[in-house]
Amino acid sequence: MNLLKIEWLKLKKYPTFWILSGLFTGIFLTLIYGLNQSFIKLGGPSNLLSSSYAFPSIWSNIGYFYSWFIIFLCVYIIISISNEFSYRTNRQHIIDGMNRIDFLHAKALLVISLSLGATVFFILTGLIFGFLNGGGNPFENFEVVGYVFLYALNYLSFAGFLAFFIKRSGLSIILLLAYFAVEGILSSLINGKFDTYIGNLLPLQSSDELLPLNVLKSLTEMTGARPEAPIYLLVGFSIFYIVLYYFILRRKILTTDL
Amino acid sequence: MGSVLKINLIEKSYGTVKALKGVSFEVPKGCVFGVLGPNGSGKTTLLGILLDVLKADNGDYHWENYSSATDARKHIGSLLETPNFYHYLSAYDNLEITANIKGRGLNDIDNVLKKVNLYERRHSKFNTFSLGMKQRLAIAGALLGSPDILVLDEPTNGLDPVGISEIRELIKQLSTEGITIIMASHLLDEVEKVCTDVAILKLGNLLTSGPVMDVLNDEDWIELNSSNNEALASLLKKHPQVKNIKVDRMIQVSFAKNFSTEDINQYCFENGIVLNHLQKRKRSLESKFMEMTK
Repeated sequence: MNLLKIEWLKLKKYPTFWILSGLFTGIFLTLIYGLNQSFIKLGGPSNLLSSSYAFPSIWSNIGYFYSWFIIFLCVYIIISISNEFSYRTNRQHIIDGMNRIDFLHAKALLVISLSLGATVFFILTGLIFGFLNGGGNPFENFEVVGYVFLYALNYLSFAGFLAFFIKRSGLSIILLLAYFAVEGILSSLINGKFDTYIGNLLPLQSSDELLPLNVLKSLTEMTGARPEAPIYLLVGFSIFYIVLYYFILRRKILTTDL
Repeated sequence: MGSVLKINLIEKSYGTVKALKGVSFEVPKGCVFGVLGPNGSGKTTLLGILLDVLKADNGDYHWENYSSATDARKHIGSLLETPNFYHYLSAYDNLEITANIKGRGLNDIDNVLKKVNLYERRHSKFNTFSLGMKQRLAIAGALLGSPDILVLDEPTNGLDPVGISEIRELIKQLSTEGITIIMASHLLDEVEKVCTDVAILKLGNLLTSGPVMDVLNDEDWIELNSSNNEALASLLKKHPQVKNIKVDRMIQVSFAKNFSTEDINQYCFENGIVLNHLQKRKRSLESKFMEMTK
């Protein structure tokens, strides 16, 4: 718990963190409000985005849009880790008596806490809009909340993984964005060429598939276009990658010079 | 008194460059221990290994009386490099993080800030500090929680003469409080002034270690001359206290014990040799150090 407290001391007076959190929550709420009120439309009079924002479909409907915004938290994780390298506080922590592995665990706890915080925010947003739009059983489709948490955890872990290797925030952020693009193309390529869902099991794609855009999903289902990866595989692979990042970083931090 | 640190055959390479080639020594408790050596001799690498920011390829070290190396580091204050702090946090907030890592309470923070004269500026952000203030904050961080041991890498490097003498006074004062101090330096003069024990490194090898008095033994040389130097040399060789004798244009002798010029004059005269030159010379430590590390 002390490790988490140390991380809190670093971020509580860090304006960048509060700005990114503000952007994350503010823009997301604005978007959901806009969609809900149909200010934001797609496809002319038959608005493709006019799905229901009542229970139970609200969870998966806002889940997809939510997935866009995790990037803000990814950027914060990258900055938080590369700050340690640029201020050389990673060395100072060890000199002051922190265990090397605890340095990694502190960042892992930060990733978990931010993912939890983001999930709580997601739940609150869903509850508010769900009840505003006529109520119903909020716990139907509630598994989406679990996917949202896993999604955040996977993305933030990947961002942290990148930052531990690159050590500079600017380059890490650019590489993260570049990787989003590359992986998206690669997964479509694999899926299209081999008529399979293997492409959906790539590191970030495995979590992306947990929060699809409903309209698109039903379109593909209607045309029966492509085999889909079962949920348990998507969840399994997402967890597998997170664990993999952890063990690679663990090995790195325990054996190399700082 | 026991040791606080035992170093055993530590080796470290950077690629093909061997920075440390099997270094071993012990640091006695309560001493001011100098790790002396020219630039590039491996001093900083050695301190980095002792504080776990670098990994040794071979060999090990042991901080005595602590349950683990991590626990030992919580009781060690150190200035290993440039001050490392969060630029966007104040002096106080930065030390709060240090205190949490070291597992100490917050009540010591004000004390150490006063000690280094930064108390008035405790709420100013680190990035508004001058270089000297940053260095002082690093010292405050090192002193936080009353460490048992201080590890300092060239602590006076880059300071002005006043700063240098302040640091030396601080080291001496802390040493009288029973803190063991381990400091790296390339300044022989500094080691001579503040250290009680020393290890001399050169290109990753340990040349020698032990109490400063023994290692950097400040020998007196006596320079003599007479009309018959050959006879004088053979006479001196017979003297039981003579340690070294060098016959050049004049004769230079060093004695095992303190030996006055009066004694030697008398000895020569009684044995039938009259001296026409007799002078005590101090061989400088500098030249001895140069000789050792050549």
